[in-house]
Amino acid sequence: MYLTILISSLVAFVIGFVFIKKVVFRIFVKWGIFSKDVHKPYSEQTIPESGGTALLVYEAVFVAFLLLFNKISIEVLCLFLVSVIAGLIGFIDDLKKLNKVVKPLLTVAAALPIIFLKETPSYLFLPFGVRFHIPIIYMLLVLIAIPITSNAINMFDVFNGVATGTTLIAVLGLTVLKLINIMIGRDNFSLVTFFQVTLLLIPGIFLLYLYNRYPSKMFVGDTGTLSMGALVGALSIIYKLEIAGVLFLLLPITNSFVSLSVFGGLFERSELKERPIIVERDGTLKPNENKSAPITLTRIVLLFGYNKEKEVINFYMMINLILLFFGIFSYLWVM
Amino acid sequence: MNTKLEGFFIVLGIILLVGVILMVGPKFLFDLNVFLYRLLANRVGNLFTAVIQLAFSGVIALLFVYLWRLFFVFIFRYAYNKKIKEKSTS
Repeated sequence: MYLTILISSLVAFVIGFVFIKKVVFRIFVKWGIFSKDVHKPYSEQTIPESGGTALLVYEAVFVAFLLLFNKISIEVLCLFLVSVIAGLIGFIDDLKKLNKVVKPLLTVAAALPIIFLKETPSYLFLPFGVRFHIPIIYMLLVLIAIPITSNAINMFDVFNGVATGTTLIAVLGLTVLKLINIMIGRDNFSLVTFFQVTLLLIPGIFLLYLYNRYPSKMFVGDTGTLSMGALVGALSIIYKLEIAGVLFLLLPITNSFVSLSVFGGLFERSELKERPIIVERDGTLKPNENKSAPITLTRIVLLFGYNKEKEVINFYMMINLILLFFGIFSYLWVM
Repeated sequence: MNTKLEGFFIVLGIILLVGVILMVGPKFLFDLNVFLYRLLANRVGNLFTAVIQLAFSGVIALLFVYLWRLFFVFIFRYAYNKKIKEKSTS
């Protein structure tokens, strides 16, 4: 059974890889779905957008194989549907630019598969033995959590590989925690389902990361970011590792929180009178020193002297890695 | 300390602090609510006790959100003033 799942994942990975090479790199560019990297004004290279569709293709092929062999679990189906719904909303936004309020509201729909397919837990387990019996409130929390995580990752797609790298680390963290819980007998989650979920998510996100990391050959677009963010939120809920999910996503959540709270609400980039950062012709990044420019996490980072894109990417990824270890150890300690 | 390193540790420190508060906060709120229940339930009844518990929890949660935002505004101001000072001295 494990072999079947593994082979399904391998085949899906190859198809996803071919999809990127043949469709994203060629057909998307032909259709005008591309842009230039704003942090590399010296480069004339066109970068295909909406590469997140490759994740959806990978997942679709993997799920199709599991359905063919009649081995699919409800959790995998749930995660797949969450990803597809969020991804579709993202794809529409990539093509047509949705309103700043409509987009987050639509991502609530991505939470519906969890509500309808998976029995939401009636207890919310928190650190130090605290638990709340909140069956109805939990459902509302699910409807709020998925839009938050998907839009947090979406807003954190600021540099090459940051969104995909952050998602990969968060999913790895949740996977490791769940595996530890299963191995020590704290959790009776099926190992087969765990294996399916792991192979549904990690290879697909890794595939995106391979092409999205610095220097990017492909942008994942809102298709990728909304989908990945929704997946992390859904995985935290399905694995009952809600607090751990928040810890692993603390950087993108902080980024969104800082931007939204300072701006005073949702905003489109086009609404900003001043940009938070300035990109020089040679790619050097500078914080906008105009006081009216919005306070963002990246602007704060640049004020501390970072001025190369790679430096800022390393800054963010290092914090993510530290949060990964912090999250795993502190979660095991307090739960 | 090198400015870049200083910036890294300041941002990391705030984010980890938020993480720690998220881990211990629910326990703190839970204990506070239990304390309030034991203190008030017999005197004002369960309904008013619940209202007071909700109000206290709400205020603490909002305070946390406010301080979270404030930390980053402070970090920004600190970094901004430091940058302006460096520019004027160089």
